[in-house]
Amino acid sequence: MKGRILFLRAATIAAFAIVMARLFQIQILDHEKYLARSLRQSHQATRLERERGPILDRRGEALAVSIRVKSLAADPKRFSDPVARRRIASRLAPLLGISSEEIERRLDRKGDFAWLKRKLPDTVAEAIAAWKEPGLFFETEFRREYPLGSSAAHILGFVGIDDDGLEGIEKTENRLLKGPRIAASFTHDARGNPIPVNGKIAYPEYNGYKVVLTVDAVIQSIAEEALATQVEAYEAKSGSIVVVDPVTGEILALANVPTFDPGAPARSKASARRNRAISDLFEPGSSMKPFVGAIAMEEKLVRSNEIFECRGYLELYGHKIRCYKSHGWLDYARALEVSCNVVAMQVAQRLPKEMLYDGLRRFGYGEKSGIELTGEAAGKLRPVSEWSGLSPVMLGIGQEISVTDLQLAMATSALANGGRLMKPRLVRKILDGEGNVVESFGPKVRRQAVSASTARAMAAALERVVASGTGRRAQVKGYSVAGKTGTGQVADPRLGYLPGHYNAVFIGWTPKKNPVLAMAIVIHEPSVEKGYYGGLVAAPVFQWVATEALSYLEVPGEMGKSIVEKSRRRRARARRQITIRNGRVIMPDLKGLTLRDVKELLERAPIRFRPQGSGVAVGQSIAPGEAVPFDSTVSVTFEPPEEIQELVDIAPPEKERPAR
Amino acid sequence: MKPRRRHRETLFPPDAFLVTTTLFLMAVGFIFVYSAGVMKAEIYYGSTSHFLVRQALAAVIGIVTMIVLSRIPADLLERAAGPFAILTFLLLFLVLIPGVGIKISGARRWLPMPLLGRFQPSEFARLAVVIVVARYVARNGEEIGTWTGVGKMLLPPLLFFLLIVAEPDFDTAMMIPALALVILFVAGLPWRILTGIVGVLLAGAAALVAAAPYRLERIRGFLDPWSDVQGKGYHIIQGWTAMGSGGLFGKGIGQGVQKYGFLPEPHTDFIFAVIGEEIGLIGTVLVTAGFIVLAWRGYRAALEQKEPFARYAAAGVTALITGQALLNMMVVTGLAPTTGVPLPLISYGGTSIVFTCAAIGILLNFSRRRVSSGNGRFGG
Repeated sequence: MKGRILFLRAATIAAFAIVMARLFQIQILDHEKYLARSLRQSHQATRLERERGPILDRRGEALAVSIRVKSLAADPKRFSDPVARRRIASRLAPLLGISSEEIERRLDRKGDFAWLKRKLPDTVAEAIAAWKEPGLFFETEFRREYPLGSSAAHILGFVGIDDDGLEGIEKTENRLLKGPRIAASFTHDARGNPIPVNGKIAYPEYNGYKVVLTVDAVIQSIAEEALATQVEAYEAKSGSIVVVDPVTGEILALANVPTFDPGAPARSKASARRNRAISDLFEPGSSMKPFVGAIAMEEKLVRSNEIFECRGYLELYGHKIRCYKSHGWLDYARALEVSCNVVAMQVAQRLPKEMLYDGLRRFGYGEKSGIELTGEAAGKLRPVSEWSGLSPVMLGIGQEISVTDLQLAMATSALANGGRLMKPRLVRKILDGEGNVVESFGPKVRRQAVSASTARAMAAALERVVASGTGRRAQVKGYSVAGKTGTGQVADPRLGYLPGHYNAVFIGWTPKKNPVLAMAIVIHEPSVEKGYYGGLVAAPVFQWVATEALSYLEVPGEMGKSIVEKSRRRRARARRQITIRNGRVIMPDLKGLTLRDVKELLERAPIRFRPQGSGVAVGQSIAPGEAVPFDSTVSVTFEPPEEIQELVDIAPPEKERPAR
Repeated sequence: MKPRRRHRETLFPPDAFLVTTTLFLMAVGFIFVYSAGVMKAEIYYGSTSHFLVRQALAAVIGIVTMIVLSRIPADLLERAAGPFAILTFLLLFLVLIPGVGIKISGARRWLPMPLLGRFQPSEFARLAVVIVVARYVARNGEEIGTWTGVGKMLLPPLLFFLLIVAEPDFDTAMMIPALALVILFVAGLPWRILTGIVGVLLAGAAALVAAAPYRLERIRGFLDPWSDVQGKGYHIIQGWTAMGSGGLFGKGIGQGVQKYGFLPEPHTDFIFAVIGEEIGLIGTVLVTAGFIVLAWRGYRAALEQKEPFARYAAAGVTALITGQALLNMMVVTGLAPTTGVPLPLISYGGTSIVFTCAAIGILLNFSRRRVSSGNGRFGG
């Protein structure tokens, strides 16, 4: 019966053909309809809580991370019966650390949701979950943790209970850390659970972005330790340090004492949470001199080797403003070395007021630096219209101006960086959840504060400050350091300057020529009995941080002799040089020679000399290299040798000046 | 191929179309058993490849069975009909005994099987009934014109049917008498008797629907699924959604979403919908074409048989495979009411794979013994 088989075959194939036609209808003609249906039922916008992104240091070390934790909530309807409410409250109270009455109060409300305690320890959450009590349930939340404890606390800031940043980078980058507000959706199965990707059941991750800081956790901890040690040793009230890469403006470390634990901000005082480095103002004292000097140098109003005379005071508008001692004859560089106020004031006087004001503004004083933190102060630099006649000289010694530690650090960086004032930066780049770069930030020049040649000249003078001046305690073995000390007076808005209250300041950078680190250190109100000069209290912090950080960064040591040795050779060379040219005597450089050396040298030359003071020559009335007639008289100023000399750079304590 | 001593007929190589199509469909099966079952495998068995590994193991056994059956002497199969009948009866009886048969979701359909897990006797029964009925009809061909004769021919299938219904597994059970009818039809069952039997079956079906209300629900869901999207129409609409959202080219292998809890049995009964979602109309048409090739070549092998038994068995075996495929596809595309049958060679299920392979092996065996004729190449 072949016909029957043929019939069967035809019928089967016809049936398959109908199936194909049906497939065409479903898959081609009705495709749009079913595609929409599929998307509608298996995609949904996310309602999952996003994990706040971590904050990392420049090398990827985690400074702030989010940990998944359980928060306990309840359905109050389940506990509407007062007896049931009391029972559950008394059971929960010891575990949650809340009073039974408080739990009852939280449960006694309308609606179907009430927080009982948020962000529980895992052990407590597990214990409560084991009860399987209907009406109690857990919500997943995130707890912010700071793996390095209080380190970098003022940079990082902290978050509130709802995971929003309230201070620091946590606040300024809150939006990015929380993640992009995209209309995220995920594919889920029929029960609403996310479906596996590549065979793995992966819950959709809508993590916030990672914020990579410019901060180096190692340098940060070095800076913190050095600062805390010195603040404690000198029984100071507080202190700040800012460490910058002067070339890029990247903040490598920023620390304050006192500090706090960002993981438990509520347990600290508001004063400990304040980021003093950017918000506290103080008078910089002598540490302002390099900037006023650089402005004058830029206008060719002063040279490093120009000779000045300090008689121990300056009379101006009937006021007698004292130096802390009479320095006699000395050149400008030396005046910086010993932090002579009279010379600094003379230099400041030469500058037209507008020029001085503009120059200081160009260094960033009186304006916010634009760092990615809230609460930055602009400092106080009054406009020229509000100046008195004394204002320029006061500015020359760092008074009548108040600054932040960050401003000092950035202005110092400008001197280190060929005169370019950089924008300080804390955020290096933003990464998404997969580690792709979302945004990265490069160096940003704010302006050229002074020319590169001026910056170089000032750097040379500041190198001597550290080599043989008031900043000797900032020396770093094997590296050149340029720096300046300062000891500012603490002023009270009503009472004026408070006797016995000082701020010890040190600014500087290293190595001098190819700078890697620039710093500004301020220690507020050290104990007067222990010592309060910038060169004594603040400079050692620089030495500590620079020594350890240069070694950690593996910055190659500088070859050749250190500047300390170079100055010794200069002395020896000068001893032999008496040159007579065209009937005139070329004045030798007497600096560093002892009174006896000078006597011996000049006895053989047709020059008379008048010594002032005793010890080592620090200044001369005729500049070295100048040709003078025979039998000219040169005044030479001597000071006690460096080893016994105080690291003095203080503004005149008894100066008489009009009250503001 | 060496001619066998006991047969003078020429032996051809096995039908290459059948072999390649079978392997193609099995390969598609591997891909989609993995893709469709990935979540269930991970959740319940801890390994995403759980189903794939078992399917591959069953496929190895199936292919060995297929090769063996394609090479045995033809009369051995015919002579095995009696033992098969007894064995089927025993197995179907055994599975009903509590403690022996494994009960899953209210149905006792499986026997424990060392190493391979479970064995479904009803799958064996479907193949056995083809051999048993083919042999009986071949021996007693003259009785096909009488009601009594036909009644005798249908007695063993009806017995098997009742035993399977008792499990209960109505969907598999009803294929047993259907296959017997196909063989009778091929053997020349008079139209009047056929009409009579169909009439009886329709009446029986109506009675069954009346007896079990869930069957009525199924039919209602089939006729108007949109009237109850979340209930009676749910499965069929989810199948359409899967295939329809796949479009022409599909969402890509592994990219489907309907398998995640929307389709009722994504790696077994609804695997065809997953294919439609992931490789689109291209994929579903290719698979359908594969079964058309099996139908074409299978019935061609039947046409070329001289012996009545071989002809009936070949036709029955072809109907077994292609009919089940057709039913599955019609259910998934909404052309037939929901019936729980797997797609042969593709759906997950060890017993199904092994016995489908066995059926193909039998077809291959027949394909080697065809009557050489001029038009044989095109199947007459």
